[in-house]
Order: sequence, then structure tokens, then C-alpha cells
Amino acid sequence: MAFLEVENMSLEFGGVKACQNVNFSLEPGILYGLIGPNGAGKSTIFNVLTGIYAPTRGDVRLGGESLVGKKPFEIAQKGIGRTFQNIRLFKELTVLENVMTSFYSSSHTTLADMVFQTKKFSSEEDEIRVKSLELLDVMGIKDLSDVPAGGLPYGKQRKLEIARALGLNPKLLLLDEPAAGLNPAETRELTNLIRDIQKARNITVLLIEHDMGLVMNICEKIYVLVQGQLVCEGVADVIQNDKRVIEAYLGVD
Amino acid sequence: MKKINSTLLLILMFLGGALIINFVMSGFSVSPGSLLWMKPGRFDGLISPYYYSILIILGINIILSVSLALLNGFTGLFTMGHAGFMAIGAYTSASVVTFLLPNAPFVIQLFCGSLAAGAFSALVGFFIGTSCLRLNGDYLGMVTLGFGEIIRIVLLNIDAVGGARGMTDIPVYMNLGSVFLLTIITILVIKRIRDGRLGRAMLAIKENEMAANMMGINPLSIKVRAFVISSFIAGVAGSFFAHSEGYLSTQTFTFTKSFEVIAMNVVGGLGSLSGAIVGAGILTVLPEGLRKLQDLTGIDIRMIIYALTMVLIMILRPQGLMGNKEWKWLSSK
Amino acid sequence: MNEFIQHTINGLALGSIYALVALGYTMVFGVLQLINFAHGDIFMLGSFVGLYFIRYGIPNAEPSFLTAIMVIIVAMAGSALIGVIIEKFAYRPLRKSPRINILITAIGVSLLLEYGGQLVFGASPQFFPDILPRKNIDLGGNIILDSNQITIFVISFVLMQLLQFMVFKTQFGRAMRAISHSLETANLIGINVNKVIFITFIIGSSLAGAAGVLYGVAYPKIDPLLGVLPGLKAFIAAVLGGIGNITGAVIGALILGLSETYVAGYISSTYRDALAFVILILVLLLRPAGLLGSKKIEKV
Repeated sequence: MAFLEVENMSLEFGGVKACQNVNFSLEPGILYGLIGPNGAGKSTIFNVLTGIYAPTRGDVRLGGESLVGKKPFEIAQKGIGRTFQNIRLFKELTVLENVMTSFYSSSHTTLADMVFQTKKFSSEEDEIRVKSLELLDVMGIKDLSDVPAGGLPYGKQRKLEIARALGLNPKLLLLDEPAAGLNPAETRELTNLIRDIQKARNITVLLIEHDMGLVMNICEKIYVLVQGQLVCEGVADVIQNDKRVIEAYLGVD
Repeated sequence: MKKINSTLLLILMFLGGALIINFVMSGFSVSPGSLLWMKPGRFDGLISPYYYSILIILGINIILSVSLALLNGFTGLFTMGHAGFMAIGAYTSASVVTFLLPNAPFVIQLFCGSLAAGAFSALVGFFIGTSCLRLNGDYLGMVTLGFGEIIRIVLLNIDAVGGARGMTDIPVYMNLGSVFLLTIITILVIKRIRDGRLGRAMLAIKENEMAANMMGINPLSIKVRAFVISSFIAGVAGSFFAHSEGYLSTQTFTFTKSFEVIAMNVVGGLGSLSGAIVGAGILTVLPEGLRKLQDLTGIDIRMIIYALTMVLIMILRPQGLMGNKEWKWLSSK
Repeated sequence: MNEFIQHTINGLALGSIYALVALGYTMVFGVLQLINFAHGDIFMLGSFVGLYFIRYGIPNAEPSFLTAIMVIIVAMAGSALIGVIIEKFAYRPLRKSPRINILITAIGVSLLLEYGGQLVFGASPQFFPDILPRKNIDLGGNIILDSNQITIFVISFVLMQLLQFMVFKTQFGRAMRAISHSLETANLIGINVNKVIFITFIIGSSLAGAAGVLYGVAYPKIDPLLGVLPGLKAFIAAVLGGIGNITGAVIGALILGLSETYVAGYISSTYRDALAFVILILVLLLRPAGLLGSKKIEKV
């Protein structure tokens, strides 16, 4: 049963058609890939899913409920977590604090709790801290928890961004080029990590990636976006042999 | 440990500290008058009334500075109208005490006056915060500057609070002990807000509003909360100011005062609570300390040195004196 | 009706002075994205340079057109000098710092000029002598056109035409407009950014200096704090017109001058100062780019 449905979604800026009649749906617990040439509109689809852009036409539904018109933070609270192509960490906060921010909407301490440091406050803070450290542990950066996030090496920043998105306890995790800028060894490690996390937590992952090795390796189903339109979907073998995909990437003779 | 008890313990400690300060300042008198509601000038001189009043102003300035740090330093909302909130608080408390509770005991006056001051200032802060949330950066600064000035001009035109003549005969009951108590409580409250989930959300918004959104944080609601809390505290500071001076003039609350508070934040180090305190300390004490120089040279170059210091610190140490460091007792670890 | 015309004349005179100051604000904001809070004080210094020049430079000069021109030129030169000194020693070292630092510096410089002014000139108001033969022209029906107002109109108009020419017809103007689009890009394509900023301060400050003299002519009591409120209002005028936009600054200043005079004339002079701030808030909340500003507002 599909829990995220994108139906006839189009997005236009002025006269520019960023997405045209995009239709797809995601099933729970599956790792999807979204590929396509530069400028195809992949990140734009993420921005529509997370409410940064409202689609010009069409609908986006999560668990049957339309997300169109919802604010980005509301959509995040409903269980869509994401990372950014150009990393957007809270650079001055420590690694641990970065992850802790993602527990904001699932925690309940009031202003009075904070000011008087009540039992509720300390137990909730401890709980958030423990959970955040667990996530950092999963991503293998627990030992860096007190370092300002801006001071991390690039690859670890990418990992931190994933840890932070996981703090939301998302049903759907959107990863925007998680391996960009990583060397082959780091990419391999991250690839395995993404798959392990996806399986262990049984969440849906949709990832944008240019590293075809990574995509073909772990994605169970792949969507191909060309000039704002989905041209092809399927498993790795189907995609690799699809004529339209080859044309889009290599051009027509 | 039981956290409530440790908070209570802290408050009792500070209360004790406040009583000791008043005890010492009043020349070791044990009468309740000198311990609780001693007025400046009525003590027999451990330090001169002049230094005494500087210490009181220092406390009030620290309160203002840390309340602005919450908005400016933590949430990243650049505002230039803090004097307006202080003015609302000062005039509200003075009016409540003079017109509504002229015969109440001083504890009631102080409590009701300051509470009303904070509440009314917070209400205005809520209104201003919600109306200019779409704006960022300099534009937010300009709008708040406008609001601050309008508040002042409106007060100037209310005859009941003295208008251009100023408001006189406000009961004076701020003593060093109570200012100390309230300053330290304010600092701790702001530190604790910063260290809780609200503070993390504020810092996240300052760092990257888009990413904060993706963490399920509603930036607009957090910003309004920052406005409300900050203006509440600035209002209370205004109330203390009114009851330490006994006289209010709208000339005190021009945009120059707002700039002064911003300067305290920036000189100390924007984003650092300790910095806000250091900045308030320097910019309060410096002009007064330079009075000696004036006595020596015979010309009034205090304010020139004050202004020059501000410029030099910005040029030579742009991150402020404390940078983003905190003293140990104010750090989040 | 006659009263209305009289207010309009007075309002336009006030607006012209605001316009000259607002131009400096808007030009500096255009190139540096800086609200130069010291600009109002440069305006004040222009007034004092003019006054001291009359007093010590040409003590025996009769009020005449030539005297007026001389005083204005000297005041412009004096203000320009102060403007570039400020730019070089206070703003330039901070070119790469966060904007709030530069803003605090601007505030510091502003205080420095105000208190320095009090030290040098004394805090009490001084009388600004006539530099032109004074004559009231009765236009009939109780409408009076002060000859000083004519001076203000003529001089403001000439200076604004000059500025318009410089900004839109010269190499410097092109470079300045390029910088206001993007300082980095301008730098990359080989524009000498420091030089252009330098010249921008010269022009902006000298206009403020001229405005200072005209202010002294119109309101002949000057003191070291006179720049604070007109400076702030000129800045508001620049925001109203669309900050960074030169034509906008002039239009904004004329609107502000007129509406202030009407409010003072028809409602109450105590609310005159509030009006400017109400305008500021309304513009920023409803149309942050100002009347003539383009959509692009700020880089977050």
C-alpha cells in the first residue's frame, strides 16, 4: 500500500516548468533512488515534498492526507526528514546539539520547566541526549559529539545531517546527494550505513544520487527524472537498459 | 538530585546575598528598613550615593543586555527598539504604583508594578513581533527602531504621565540587594532558556532557518516567543529603573538607549551571555570611571573616549571581548 | 487654500534639505549595505564648518549670492573630508566583518562626532548668520515665499542634477551602480571598489554638508545634536523611496517634508516626529522595497 503519493504534480516558476505531471508513489520500508541529469528537478521534488515549494497543480499525500499548503515544519512533524545537497547544519552548535534540535517537536517541556529545571525537564533532556548519542553512534561520529558542527570534516558533516534527520523519527527520509564530495571508501561506507539504517528502522528512503554505483547497489526501485518529467521507473536492470535513460544521460546520436 | 530543591536553594542563596549586601551597604544595620527597602541616600555611607547608584544602573543594564541577547544573540533577530520596551515597563510600573496602589505596602507595589510592567511590555512585544516577522536583518532593525520611537513619542504626549515635563514623585525603593537578586535571577532564567529545547530551537533558527524548519521547528512561533520573553524582561528592567530614579523622562528612552544596549551585546560578544554581561559592565562603568579623567583635565572627554572605545573594539576585536565563549557558570555543559 | 499653499512651500523646503541628506544615506547603503548612522552628524558638521567659515574666514562679508556659494562650497569640502576620514579609518577595516559590527561602528562614530562637536563647538546653540540678503516675497493672500526658501530650492535642485549626471552618465556612476548590484562581482570585473566607495563618501558627505548650511539658513540656531533627528528622518525618507534608489530618496524626502509640515500645521506639532516613524513602519511592513525600490530586498 502506498503511503506517499504524488499525483499529477506540476511546479512552475513564472513560465519555467520545473516539474511536469509527476506521478509516483512510495511504499513503506523500501529504499528508492531518484536519478536524472543535472537540472532535471530532483531537488525541486524534495522541496515540494517538504513544503518549501507549493505545487502549481496536483497533489502530494502522506498517508492519504494532502500536504499541499502545509508549512514545512508541519510536514517535518508528520514524519518527513531530509538532508540538503549543500549541507545545512547549525554550524555553531555542537554535533550533539545539532541532533538534539530534531527532538524539538516530540518533546514537551514548558518554559516553566526550563526555568525551574524540573524533574520533567531533566529527565526529558537526558532522554533526548541519550537518543541523540545513539544516533551519533550509529553514524559513527559519537566521539565528536562536543565539537562544533562547522568544524567537522566534510564527510562527517554529511553523516551528521543524516543523524539529525533521523532524530525526527521520520517515516520517510529524503537524502539529497548523500555521497557528494566523498571519496570511494567513504562512499562505500555510507552506502552500507544507509542500507543498514533503512532496514533496521524499516523506514522509506528516497535518495538523490549521481553515483550510479551507489544507486544501483542499494536502491530497490529507481525513478528517473528528465527535464521535470519522470521518464522511467523500475529496478536497476530495467533502468540501465532503458533507451530513454541512456539518451538522457548520453544524448542522442 | 531534586532539581526543584536546588533551584529553591539557589534562590535562597541569592536572597541571602541580597540581604548581606544591604546589611553591609547600610553600615551594618539590622533594621528591616535598611535590609529591605532602604532608599539610596539613607544609608550612612559605606560607599558614596554616587557609586551606589552606578551599581544599581549596572544591574539594570545587565538585565537589559541579557534580555536583548536572547533576541539578538540567540535568535538572530536584530532589533533596535529595546529602549521602547524599557520605557513601557518604566511608565507602566510608575503609573500602577502612583495611580492604582498609592498606599499599598512596598512589596505589593514592587511586585504588582513590575509584573504589570513586564506583562504590558510583553503584550506590545507580542504585537510588534507578530507584525514584523516577515522581515529579517536590517529591515527588522529599522521597524523596531520605528516602534521604539513611536512608543516614546506616544508617552511624551500622554499628559497623565507628565508629558514633556517628565514623571516625578515615583516611589523609590530599589536597593542594591534587590537589584543584585533580580539581576542574577534574570541571568539564570535566560541561561536556562538557552539550554532547554526552546533555546536550542532559537539557536537553530539563527544558524539556518530552513534547516530548523526541516527539524519540525516553527520559526515564527519561536521568534514571537523570543520577542515576548525579551520584552517582558526589558519591561521589568524599566520598572526597576523607574523605582531607582524616582523620575522618568522620555528623553532617557530614545533610540540612543537602544543602541547602547546593542553595543553592550556586540562589545561583549554577540551570542555570548557572559559577553552581554561584560559589555554591560564596560559600557556602564567606563563613562563613569572616566569622570576622574575629567576632573584632572578639566574638559569633558568621557563620552568621546566611550565612543572611541566602541569603535576600536569593533575594529580590533570584531567578535567582541568574549567571542562566543562563556564563563564556566554560564556555559551549557 | 492659501494656508495649504503656504504649508506646501514650507514642506518642499524642508523636504529639499532632507533630500540632500537622504541621498548620502541611500548611496552609502547602495554600495556598502550599511546604514551610516554617522551621516546625520556629518550634516551637522557641515553646518558648523559653514558657521566657522563665516565667522573666521570671511568675517566682513556682506550677505550676498557669492558669500552663500563660498560658504556652501567650504562646508561641502569640510564634510567630504570628514566623510572620507570616517570611511578610511572606521568602515574600511571592517569591510569583511559582520554587518552588525559595522553598524555598531557607525553608531560609535556618530556618538564620537556628537560629543566631539560638543567639546569643540560647545553644547549650547549658536546663531547662524544670514548669508544671503533676506527678503520675503508676498505672493498675495498671505502666502509668503522666503528668499531663503528660494535659495534652498535652487541649490538643492542644482546639486541633485549634478548628482543625477554623475550617477547615470559617468564612468564612476556606472561603477557605483555595478557595486550596488554586487560588490564581489564588481571587484572581479576589475572595478576599483575602494576608490568608488571613497568617491561615494565624498559625494554623499558633501551633499550633507551643503544641506547643513541650508539647514542653518532655514533654522538659524545650530547645536552639535542637530543632526540626530533630521538624519534619522532623511534615512526614513531614503527607505520610503526605496533604499539604494537615488530618485526614490528625493521623492521620499519631499513626501516626508510635505507630510510633516501638513501634520504640524493641521494636527499637532507634537506628533510631527511620530509621523516619520509611522511612515517607516508602514513602508517596511507593506512594501519593504520602498516606493521605487526593486523587488530584491535582502540577502539572508
